Amino acid sequence: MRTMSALLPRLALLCSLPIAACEHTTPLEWEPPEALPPASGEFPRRLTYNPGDDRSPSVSGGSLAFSRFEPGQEVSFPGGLPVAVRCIALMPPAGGTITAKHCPLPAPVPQDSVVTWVEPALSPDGSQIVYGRIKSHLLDVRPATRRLRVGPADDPAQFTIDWNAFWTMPDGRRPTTFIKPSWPDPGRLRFLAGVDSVFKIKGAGASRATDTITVAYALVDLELGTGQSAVVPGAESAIAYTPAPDGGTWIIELADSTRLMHLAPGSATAEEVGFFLEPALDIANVDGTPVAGHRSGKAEALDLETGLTRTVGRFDGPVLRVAAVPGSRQFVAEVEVITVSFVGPNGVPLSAGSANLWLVELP
Amino acid sequence: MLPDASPFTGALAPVLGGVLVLALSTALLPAKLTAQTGGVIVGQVTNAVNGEPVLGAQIEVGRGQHGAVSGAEGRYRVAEIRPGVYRVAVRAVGFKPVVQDSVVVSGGRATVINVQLAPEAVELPGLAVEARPDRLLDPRIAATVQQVTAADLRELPVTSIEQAVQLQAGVVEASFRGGRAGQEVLILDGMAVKNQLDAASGPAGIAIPPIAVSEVTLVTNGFSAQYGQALSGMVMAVTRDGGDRLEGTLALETDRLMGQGSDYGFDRLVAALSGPLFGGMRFFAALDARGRLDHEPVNAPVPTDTLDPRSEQPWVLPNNAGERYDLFGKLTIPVGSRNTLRLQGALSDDQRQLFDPVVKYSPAGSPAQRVSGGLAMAHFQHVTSPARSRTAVFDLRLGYFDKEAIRAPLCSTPDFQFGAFTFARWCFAGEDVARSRDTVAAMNRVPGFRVPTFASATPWGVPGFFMTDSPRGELAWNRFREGRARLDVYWGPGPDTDLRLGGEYVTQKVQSFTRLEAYETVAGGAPEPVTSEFSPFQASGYGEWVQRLSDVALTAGLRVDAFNPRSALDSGELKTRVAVGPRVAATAMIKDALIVGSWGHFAQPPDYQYLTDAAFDDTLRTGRFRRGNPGLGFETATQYELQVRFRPSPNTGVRIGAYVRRLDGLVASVPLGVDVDSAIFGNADFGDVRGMEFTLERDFVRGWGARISYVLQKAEATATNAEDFFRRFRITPVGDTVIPPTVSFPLDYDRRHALIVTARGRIPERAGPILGEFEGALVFRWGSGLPYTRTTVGGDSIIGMPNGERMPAQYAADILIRRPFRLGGARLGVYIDIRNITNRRNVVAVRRESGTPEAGEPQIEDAAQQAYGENPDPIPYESRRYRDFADSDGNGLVAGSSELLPLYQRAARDFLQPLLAFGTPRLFRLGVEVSF
Repeated sequence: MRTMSALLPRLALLCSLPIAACEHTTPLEWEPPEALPPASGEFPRRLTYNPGDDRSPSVSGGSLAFSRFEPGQEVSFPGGLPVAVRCIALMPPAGGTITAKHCPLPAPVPQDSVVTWVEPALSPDGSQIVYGRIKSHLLDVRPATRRLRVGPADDPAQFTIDWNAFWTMPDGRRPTTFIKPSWPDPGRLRFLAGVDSVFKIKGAGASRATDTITVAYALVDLELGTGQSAVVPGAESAIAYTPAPDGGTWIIELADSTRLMHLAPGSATAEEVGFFLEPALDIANVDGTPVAGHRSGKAEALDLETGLTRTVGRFDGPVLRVAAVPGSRQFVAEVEVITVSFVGPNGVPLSAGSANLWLVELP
Repeated sequence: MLPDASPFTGALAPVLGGVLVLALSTALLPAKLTAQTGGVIVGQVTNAVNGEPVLGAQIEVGRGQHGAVSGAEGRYRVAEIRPGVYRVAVRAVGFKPVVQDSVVVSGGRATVINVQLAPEAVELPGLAVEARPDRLLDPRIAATVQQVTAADLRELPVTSIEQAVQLQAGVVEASFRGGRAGQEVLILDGMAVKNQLDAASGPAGIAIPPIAVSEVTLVTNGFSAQYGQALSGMVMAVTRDGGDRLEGTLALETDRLMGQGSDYGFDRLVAALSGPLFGGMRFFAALDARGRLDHEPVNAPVPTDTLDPRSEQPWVLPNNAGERYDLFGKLTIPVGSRNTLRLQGALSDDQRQLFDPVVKYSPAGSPAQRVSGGLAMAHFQHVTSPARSRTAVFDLRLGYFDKEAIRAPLCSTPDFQFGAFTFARWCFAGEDVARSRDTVAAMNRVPGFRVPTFASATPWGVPGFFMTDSPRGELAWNRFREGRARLDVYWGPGPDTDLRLGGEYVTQKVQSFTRLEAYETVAGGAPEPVTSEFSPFQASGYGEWVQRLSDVALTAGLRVDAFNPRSALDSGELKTRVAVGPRVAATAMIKDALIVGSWGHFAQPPDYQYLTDAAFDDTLRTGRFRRGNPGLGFETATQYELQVRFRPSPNTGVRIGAYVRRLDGLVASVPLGVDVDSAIFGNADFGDVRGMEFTLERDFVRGWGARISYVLQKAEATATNAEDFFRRFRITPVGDTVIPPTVSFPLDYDRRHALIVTARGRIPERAGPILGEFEGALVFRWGSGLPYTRTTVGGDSIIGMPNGERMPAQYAADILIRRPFRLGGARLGVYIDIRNITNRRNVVAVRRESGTPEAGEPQIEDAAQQAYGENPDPIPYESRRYRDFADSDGNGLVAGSSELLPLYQRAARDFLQPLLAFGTPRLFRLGVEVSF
């Protein structure tokens, strides 16, 4: 008995020591579901099912970046129609769940303007992102300001470069917009300069309406370190561009948008290297093959050796933008679902609607 | 025009100022109605040979700071002794001295030591007989005193002084005898410590580790004229002095190892060290550190939806962790033979997340709170020579109290190191802005605050119910500081007479800052930041007199209080408010019963938060603005009580009492104009509390003791708390003014019936090495349901009278079992503390429209339909909100009432879980303690 009395306290003390080493039960925690894989393994593969609007795809830095509007992101003005607020979305190029979405902060009250983010493109290392910030005033279809901004990819609002996209080119033209920015190298941006064209829509139903489209007209380089911009020699009338395999640039010019022109490195003169069967709205270098998007809903690949083209994608709406997936034979197509067709300036047929992104693979 | 605070305020205010109060304090007759901080040793000195009384014997207590000289009939009385254990020596010329060790002195109670002195010429030894003080039948104790000893704090299943106090009759959570929260005051070692800024709604700011306390006394009636700042009760705590030898205690308490379902992430470390230093100086130091992964565990039912994460982890709520550190230190310094200086300080730091269902799935958006407090006190005591037949004790106390609180989101999720302990001070968003009270900078978005959006990282994905950040966007900060100087003089002109005089001056400073929706600019529609800074003062004086005549004791006292908020009003100096509080009591032994009757008038200044527009718990949150009122006066109470105490057997005591308390001038929200959402604080609430208390107690003898308390109470008034908008009011015939009501209704804390049973027992050593010496304590509490107001489904109209309905009754049983051991020179204890051992699911809140904790199916469906109606857009495959289990047709879109609406329904069911409507579940805690 006495032995037991002596042992008990020691046992109690010994047993208590491991208590502190035990971990507590974890409080209720819930892990969000893992990102979904691509919706299918087939091509063309639908990347976005957004009933809103996905535009301006670019693939770099390992991600697909695009400008996204989701229903519910509208800003309502008293007495006016709701205005869409566009955000920047990132997703794996092969598709699946969006990995990040960044939106502009709400405009301060009184809400007489709306801010929207467009034309995103990640830097090659994925750490930076360039995008356009557009501020528009209530009931004014023209942007009040348009800035080119560069900021951290994980928090674009903390921008480090803020460049006014309303500027004057050496030839006197005064662009008001930039289109399809890309990163030729970490310290330089390339984009198409253009203007916002405001016009009256005719034939859009019984009433006349005013709308704005952007019209590109030159390829421009912007040095991030100095803020200096310059028109790329030989690309003064480019309306679409993509890097060529030899380090030069393929461009489409306003004069004839079916012709694919090649601007060799160091050259100031573009030469025709082939032509598409329809006017090209945008072009992309997909594993060395030029691919164009057309208003007819086709995506067309051009064989530079034979000069022949073939349809590599066929959709129900215009293919407004194409973006190659580096290191693959795939490209992302911005396909519009037309909700209204109308005639634009100079009789150009135009349409409006919402767009989704698709992934297409060359055969 | 607003009603005045009290009838005394208006009449005397113009006459009596702060200076006059102090003057009165020295002129008025004293009276003692209740237990004081100090205790008393009384007795008779007789000749051991012939039994004759010995006159002129010197009685020395402790190191000689206290003492007395026996008078007529050999009787003596040593008063104002700090509770503790003392050595008592009795000497007389021609007699052998007698020394009695380990005499226990309790606050407000008499310890009887009768001494028989043997003449030096006789071979007889002297003898001291210590009679057990009968605290029940002591006619000097007129008040209803309930005492918690250090042993109680150690042996009962309680973790804090607050929990120990809640085991006493008449205490319902933070309500004492039907009073509102904040109508009580803590008297720590004879000095009041009260968070006068927001006592009704905020934490005290300071807590003393229970191990540092030698006893706690709860007084709920006729409390001493010595103390003010309270209407409903006093909690008097006496801290330990360092002893004559080095002593230490280390205890660990945890619910680790309990496994899922019983492990709520609780850890506690208690350490204390005390002993002598040099020159007679002694020290005491204690630390109580507590960490909780779930600060307030709830016993809510497990959800039925298997996709609800809580269905598998129903126990520990997320984003509800916290840690608390309470540190206490004390130096006891003898200064000469008649003086003692005590220097003591306490620091508390309590930081915790505040669980909010809205951000349940967004840890980064969870709000949090930190309350820190510091207290420094110096107490100088002078006792006149015991050789003088008339003892006098002078106590001069100086104190400084500083309390600071902030509530805001955290800069980052806490980095828990050990359980809920981070061992770091958390960073709060906007803390710098709040502390500097920079209202200009705060017009902008406050850094660290994020715009709340509907969270996508929820099981349901839908944009509804759950947010990324708190929509309140609250940044609230306040700081309350005060310096206090107090002088108490005790004079005992004879063994049957006590006189006390004293006064106090308190200078205070209040600073507060509130900014809501801090993620938005004020220009963008957020409420403007509100701040305040002012420096009130309080002054008081008192006198009290106790006279015992055989078996009758009379007490009478008068207290005068004054306060002035001073700079709370921009337009200039405010007048000083004065309140006079007479208190009388009489006790008489009739046969074997002690009859006690008391009457007293009490006053306390209003919480300073109601004097300005800015407050820590400001009602801006409700959208109903309450305007601060610098003109507020004292809140008052008048109480009558009659009590009978007797002993049906030597070890059993019974106390039966009935009381009536009239509360008046309590702060309430008074309608301002006819806008029902606009009000101003005013001294407009009044009500009555009537009650009866019955206590049956068996002293701890032969291995067990028990106490049964039953309270029958009815508390009705015109408002439950200051923010409570009058729910019944009239509009003047002209229609331009809303008149406050005169209808009283049950208060939120009106618990009609309450039963508390505490029992302790110890198995004798002879029961064997395993069972022998086991100690156990049981606490059982039962209370009838608290009232609530039933409303229509829409919630915009009440059904019946306010608080016309009752929630279900509650009960819980707690036990603590301890096994002490000896291990070498140390004492070891192992214990298990189990709260709510039956795992009773107590309902502590109900939905007003249904009277049940759970939302009904119609409410869930309505909430789901409303959320769906506001966000009916399909969710595409690539969205983070997409949930493949909901896309029944597999078209890459969760859309329509067949796919999307069920997600909203599940989210609504999740969101409306009545988590906080249920009380504490069964809690286990294992403890190990070592003392030397």
